[in-house]
Amino acid sequence: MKEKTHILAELAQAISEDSIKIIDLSNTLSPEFPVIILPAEFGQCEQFKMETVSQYDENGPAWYWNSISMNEHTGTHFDAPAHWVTGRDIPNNTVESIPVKNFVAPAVVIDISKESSTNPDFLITKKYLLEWEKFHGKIPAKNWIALRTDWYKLVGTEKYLNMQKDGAHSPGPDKSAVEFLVFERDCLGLAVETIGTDAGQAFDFDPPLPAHSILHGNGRYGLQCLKNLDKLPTFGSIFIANPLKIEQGSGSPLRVLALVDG
Amino acid sequence: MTKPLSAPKKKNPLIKSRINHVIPAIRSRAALAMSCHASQGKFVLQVCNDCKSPTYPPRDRCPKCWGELTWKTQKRSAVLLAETTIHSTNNLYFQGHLPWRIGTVLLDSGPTAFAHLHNNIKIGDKVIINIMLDRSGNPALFALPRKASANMENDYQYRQFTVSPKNRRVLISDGRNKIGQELAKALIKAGAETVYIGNSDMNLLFDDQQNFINNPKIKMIPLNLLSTKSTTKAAQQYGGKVDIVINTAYYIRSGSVAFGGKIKELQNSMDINAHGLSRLAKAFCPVLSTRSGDKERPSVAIVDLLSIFSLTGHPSYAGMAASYAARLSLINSLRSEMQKTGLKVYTILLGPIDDEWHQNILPPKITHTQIARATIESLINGQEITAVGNVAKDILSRWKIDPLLAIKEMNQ
Repeated sequence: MKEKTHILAELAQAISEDSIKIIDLSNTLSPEFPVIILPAEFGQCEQFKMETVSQYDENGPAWYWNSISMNEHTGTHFDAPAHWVTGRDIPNNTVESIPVKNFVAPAVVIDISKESSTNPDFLITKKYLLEWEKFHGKIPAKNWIALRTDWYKLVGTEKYLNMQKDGAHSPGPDKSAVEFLVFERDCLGLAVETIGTDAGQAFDFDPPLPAHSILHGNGRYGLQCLKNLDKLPTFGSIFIANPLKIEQGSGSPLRVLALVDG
Repeated sequence: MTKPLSAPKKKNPLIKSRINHVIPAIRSRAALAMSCHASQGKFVLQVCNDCKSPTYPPRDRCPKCWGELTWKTQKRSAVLLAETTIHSTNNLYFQGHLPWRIGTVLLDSGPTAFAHLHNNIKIGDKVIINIMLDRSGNPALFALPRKASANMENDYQYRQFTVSPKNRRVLISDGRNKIGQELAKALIKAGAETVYIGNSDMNLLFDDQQNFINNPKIKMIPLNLLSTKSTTKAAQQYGGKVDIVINTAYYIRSGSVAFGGKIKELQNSMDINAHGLSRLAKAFCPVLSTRSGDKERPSVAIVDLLSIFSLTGHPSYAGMAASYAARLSLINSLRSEMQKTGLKVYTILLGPIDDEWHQNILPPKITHTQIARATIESLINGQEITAVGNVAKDILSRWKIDPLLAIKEMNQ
């Protein structure tokens, strides 16, 4: 107990001295921030909306506040296992019931930005990950797997969603990669800069949307629409990613922070 | 002959614009009834149930025998008996529009009446009389040449009673949908100077977008009716450059109330159809109001396109119809608000549209081109309320006779 207190004190001092830096991994919630688009006959993801209740005016002379509304999966957001049908029956599958210790966890950053810049449909595979491990070392258990694509730099352009007549085009993992990360590396979840943990064309994969299907079916989580993954080291960062405590919530917009050595 | 309308001169920014004086609004219930008929393009006069004499102006009782009066469609034909040109007046509205010609017409149906005159008619001419609504919504008789001629609708006085898009700058709230796109093309064909089309997501290409971008008269602007920030910003940037705002945004999904009722779809419908209209009006109407009195280049109208099911509901499109009912109610209130500013509010009631969202409804349905054409006609003719397509016309006529029965019939 005494030792733990010592670690926290060191951490506090490191933060105050900027020897540990805190990186903001969230995009700003605004009506302009894109949301995922499903085929038109399905229910759609609601964009962020904000209406002013009062702003130092006749509705409240000294105070400013807004009413906001959005989908649980709008903006930078967290996917709980219950988000996907494969995770519907597993325990602690909604945001309010997830053990809170999972909200603070280390991350491994895998950089596929070069591949993604030349091929928006780039798929990361088990083979790619094994090659990556040869160079960087083994992926530790209980880590967020953060896929750096630099996709956040495309926010505000048509290339972010990259919606074509045959659907969206953005990078992501294939089935072999997700199975490898879940079953062989025991990841905590997948963290991405794109609109979803799956690739844009993943609806046509087998199984459809393998990241959602396999991650959530095995109690793992998703983080989407992140930014600044290019500012993180490959190993050694810690994510603080705690969703809102929504009853029976399938996910939640959230502010994701990363602690890194300064 | 009426001269072709030339493009408005660029305004000297140092000259103070004339403020929006309006004609005093109507007083009697009979006059209000006449304005309702006029808003639908009808030519009606009161006829006595006892002595059968038509009468004008609107009254509560027959001036000859005190009999009860009933509104009846009358011949539009008349003869111009006398005319004068007003050069000086205490009326603040007409002060801004002098000189102004008026005359006395003998209606073929009997009464003699004052009428505003088209430039192309002279004493002794046989004329056609329209009942038009002035800037305050008052019904007034307007005498037009019996034979249509080129540029007839460009007559200065006539243009004060219509909201023709000719030489005007028009904003379409949603240019992503086919109605907005067809309307943009039709407006340009009708002589609009510029058509701004709203795009709720500039980063999401829509079909045929390139063609729109290539047209020098069409300017695509960011405008999302789901976002107050977006409507406010659009009005800040373009409100001073727009003369007509046309709301084409819609959200249509099928669904019932109890069995298979979808609360989220109802919310979405309300957010686009009702809240969206409110956001648009709140952002644009105040700024348009400041220019409605400008003689050269006035802002003139807000036009809303909505479903005829706003009147009756629809069992298979319950949420959509409910949101349209809210939208219609808002538009009616907006018309009253805008009456004080001189901005006209037009309502285009649409029958089922031939699109992917009305697949559950049997024909006849209306095309996007039909909607665009009918909207332009209503603006050119100064007709505030227009039903488009046989279904909308039929429902509207049934609703006017017996609203409760029309609701019952539509919800069988």
